[in-house]
Amino acid sequence: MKEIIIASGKGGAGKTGFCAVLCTLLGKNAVCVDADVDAANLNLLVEKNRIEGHDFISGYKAVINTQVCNGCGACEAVCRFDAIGKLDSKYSIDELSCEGCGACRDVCEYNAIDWHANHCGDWFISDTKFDSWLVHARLNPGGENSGKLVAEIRRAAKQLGSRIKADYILIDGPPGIGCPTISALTGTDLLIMVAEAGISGIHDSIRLLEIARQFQIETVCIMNKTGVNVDAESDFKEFLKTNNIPLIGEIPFNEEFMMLLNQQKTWLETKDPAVKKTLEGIWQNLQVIL
Amino acid sequence: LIKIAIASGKGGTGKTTLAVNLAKIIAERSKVVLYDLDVEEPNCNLFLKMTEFNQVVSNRQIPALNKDKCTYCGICSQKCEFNAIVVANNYFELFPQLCHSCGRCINVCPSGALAERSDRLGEISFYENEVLELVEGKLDIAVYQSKTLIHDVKLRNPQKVVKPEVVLYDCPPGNSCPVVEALKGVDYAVLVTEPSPFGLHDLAISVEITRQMQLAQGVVINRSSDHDDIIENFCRDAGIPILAKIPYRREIAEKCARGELIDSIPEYRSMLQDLMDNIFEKL
Repeated sequence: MKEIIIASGKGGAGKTGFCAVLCTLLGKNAVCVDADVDAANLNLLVEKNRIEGHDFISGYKAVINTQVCNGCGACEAVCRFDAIGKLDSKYSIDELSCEGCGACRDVCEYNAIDWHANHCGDWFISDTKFDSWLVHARLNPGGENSGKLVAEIRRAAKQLGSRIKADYILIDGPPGIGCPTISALTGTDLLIMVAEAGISGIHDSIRLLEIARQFQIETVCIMNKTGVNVDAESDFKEFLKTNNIPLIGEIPFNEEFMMLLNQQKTWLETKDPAVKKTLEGIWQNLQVIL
Repeated sequence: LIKIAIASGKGGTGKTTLAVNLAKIIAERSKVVLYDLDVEEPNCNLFLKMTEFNQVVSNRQIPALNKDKCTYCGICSQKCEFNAIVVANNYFELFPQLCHSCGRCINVCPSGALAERSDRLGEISFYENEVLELVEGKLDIAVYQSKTLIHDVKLRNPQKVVKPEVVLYDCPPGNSCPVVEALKGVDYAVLVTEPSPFGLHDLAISVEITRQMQLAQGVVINRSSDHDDIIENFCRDAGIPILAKIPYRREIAEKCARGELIDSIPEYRSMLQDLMDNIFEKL
């Protein structure tokens, strides 16, 4: 079973759009994972039925029992996250700021701080319109532990994949290069980098490549939204060549993808024969690598 | 001092485009400092091309062991909720990527064997031009703690603009802890979205965050088209004002791809001015 991740550094580069294309083409050979757990969108394009739902519980949250609190303020002094504040002579903890370290509990002499397992979100297994499976999640708004949730759904996808004898795990990566991206990238076999062909997209792709290099992940590149800055594009192509990263396709900027998205259709349903041909070309190039 | 955040759940909706153009427009009448808090992928200066005049390293504090004092009792490891410390017979190891810098291990160590040492997160750069100052955080490669760096960047005062009147935050994408850190303490959140099922879905999650944080907020529809009703209906039901619409045009995509501002085109310039007036009216 091969693990393939689609990532871009920059948001909105076309990761999910392209992932849906591969989800269609790989069909029952693939288990898809939406690793953008705090803004998960792949299900909006491909999900058919939600088969399983699971709680994601990770870490703890501290809550002050105001009946017992005597307002000494020791907890506030020890909290590094500015999560504890005083309101009307009683202390309380801001749930969004509390990281669940428990330092406040060590110093409270009145045992006024309760300790709750933190329900950070949910994750699901769904079947799709394209015979592939989808493992996806919903991190609670503003939640923590996105990296752990990514690891958890990757684990679930692997289990499912070996049970149904899928050939591929296909991961739709989060934007950025921080915690959830590293969690989604670690240990994958191939990175398909969707680089948006503007100065931001290129800048962000180069930062992503630095991580891929550190983790020694084989990388191929697709350029999306080409034709809007030809100079930057040709510089970037030189860069890819110098770094031995195969460019396996270029998708021109087009207004149609937005329209398809609004009809909840994938890029493959394009009415533009040139775009269709480009996508087929990418698929052919990919089949050689896969 | 007014603090305005430009945020969006979905990536690539145009946060940075809006932040840099708006910063320039606001600078025409107020003293502005722009903070690039998208520390994983900071892009503001690709557009503004300002001159860097200072750069500092951002560190966090993580535990450092004094081997002579350690009795390997293991209390630090037991108390660490993040499993960042392993202690066995005469063996201590810290896994920095798991450490939240909470300091609990140091507080609970009975033999005073733990102190703090600096651990590098990234760089904070200061840029200037004739009209504004930019403070930018940039996370080092393969560092996990973007939230901690965002916290540090926000604490940095501008070095050229004296008594700024407006602070603009260009936030990271998403709906997890980094964006919460970026939104803390702001007076107004501008949520940028696009009229698509993806844009709507991620906007709805962002609104749950801003509601929980009790922030005043408004929405900007980027890539506005004849599908805007998908966002407009949501905003009407949620009671959130739509502050501006940026049309979906190749011309804008080209300007953004080249790192150019859109404020030189009269139509967009007046759109940005209206947006600015709209925000200040709400404050």
